[in-house]
Amino acid sequence: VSSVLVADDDDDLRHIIVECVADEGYTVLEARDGTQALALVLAEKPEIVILDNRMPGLSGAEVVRRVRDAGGDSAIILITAATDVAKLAAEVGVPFYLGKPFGLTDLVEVLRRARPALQTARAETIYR
Amino acid sequence: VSALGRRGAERAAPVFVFQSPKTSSLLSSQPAGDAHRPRLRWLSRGDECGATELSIFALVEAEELAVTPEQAERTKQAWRRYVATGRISQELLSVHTYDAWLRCKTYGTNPQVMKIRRLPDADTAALLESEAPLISASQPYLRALSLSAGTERHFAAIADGHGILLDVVGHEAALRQTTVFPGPMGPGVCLSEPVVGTGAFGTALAESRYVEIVGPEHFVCDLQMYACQGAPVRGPDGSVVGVIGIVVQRSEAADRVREILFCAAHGIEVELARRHVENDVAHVLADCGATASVDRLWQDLTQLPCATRLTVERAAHVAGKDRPRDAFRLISSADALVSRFARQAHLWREMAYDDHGSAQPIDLNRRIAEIADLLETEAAVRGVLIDVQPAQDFRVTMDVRALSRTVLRALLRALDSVPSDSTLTIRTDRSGDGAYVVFSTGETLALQNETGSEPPA
Repeated sequence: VSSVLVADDDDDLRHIIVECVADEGYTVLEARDGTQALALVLAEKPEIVILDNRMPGLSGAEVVRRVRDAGGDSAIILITAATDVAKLAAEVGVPFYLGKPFGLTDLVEVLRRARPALQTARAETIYR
Repeated sequence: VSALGRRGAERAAPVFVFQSPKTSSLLSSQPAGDAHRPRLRWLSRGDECGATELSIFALVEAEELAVTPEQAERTKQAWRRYVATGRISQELLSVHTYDAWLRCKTYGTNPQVMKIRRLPDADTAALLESEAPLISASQPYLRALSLSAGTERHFAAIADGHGILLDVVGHEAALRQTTVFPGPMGPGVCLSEPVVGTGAFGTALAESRYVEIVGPEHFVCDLQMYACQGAPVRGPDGSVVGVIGIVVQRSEAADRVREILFCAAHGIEVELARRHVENDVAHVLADCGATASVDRLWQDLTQLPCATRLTVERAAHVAGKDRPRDAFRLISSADALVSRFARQAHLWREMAYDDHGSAQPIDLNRRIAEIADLLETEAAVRGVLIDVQPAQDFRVTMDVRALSRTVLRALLRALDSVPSDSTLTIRTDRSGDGAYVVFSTGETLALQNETGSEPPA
């Protein structure tokens, strides 16, 4: 069973995302700020991280930078209500993102795209 | 406030779920003598939060529409009598059905012939363009509504304020229905009351409230095989801008989608309000000299509509899988999210008014807490905890808009001056002719009571 970390400081939003992700068959971890998210990514190494960009502690962008610096290879889905989501995701260096408000279908779709991308990346690493 | 009519085991014994101190007075106001058709009033959310100006929380009167076999038979009898004599038998019909049929008679609607009116293609295209904001706001909720119907033959649609369909989703066969509706059911088809008689879309618009028209309650005989439900959708200014509805063939299916329909209507209203309130946030923050915060606070405000949309979609998903308990839990959550967004949107809207309003008694501590709530995430990201410490409950008499802007401006200044990982304490105290608001940064606001409606010097 793949594991997913959901990091968002908004309790209502985090809870409903967790419920939706769990219903897709994933094991779900939760973080309510950037600091907690970073600690969980490094300790638990979830396959996928759904990461809010605007959080107390560390921003989503900062979490991504530190995870990559530490060699973490989790597939990261950036979620944000920022106006130019694609630009922000490119700056942060993540291929997967969702602009708020997003829907259930969007969430499920991006999860399904993120998982094989991670597996491909891991396979390439092993090959090298 | 949540007041959702639920059918009980006996169908005619609804369970009312209220979260308001007004419950008892409302229940006692139910008309006596018609036990099978009790009516409930859906309390205004604005009523609870004081957001009376935000019309998306206008008072809604809903009807528990458990149609018993006896009632259905009486309605059929009334219809036959009307066709034969042209007289509407008030004694056989529920109040709402009687009123609706009376309107249909006035329009000259033929109860025996289904009329179809469809806009020409060019007009439909123009309408879809002008109604693009409503269409895009409603799309996820239409899908959710359709999902909640599960495998039932159905269609769900959003119509404009005249009952003309803008977008339709649903069971493929139902959309191609040719027995009743020649041609595909799609944008441009008019389902207003004068055209098709009583129905989800036209009657909800005519009465500006949620309606459920079951079987023989339809004025036009061709529609009497359906159960349909419609709820008006209000724009940010409170006017009805459209109606969302669903048509199913089995009335049992209508039970499943009722609450989802309520939530879908409010979800669309939240999305319309969200787009509108962006200007209010920008306007208020520009006035406060905090233009740099606009994007961040706007992002914070978007959290609630995002959670609302996901929650309604999830509720529809589980409702479609026959998990009513889960669906109801999620619907209650969605309801609370809508209420919270309403309070925040109302506050921004109120502060965006430039003109000076009249002085009125205001619970100062509550108002400060509400404004602090708007800045909660901004403060948390800066590592600041806002702690409102009311000395006692009291009111000041001021223009609420001016007061709110003054407090917001001061709070933004205070946030700028406190270091991260600290607590910003706000204390209020009564003074001889008003109140003090004291920030731990050292700033003190002296608020003077206004005696009239004239602007303060």
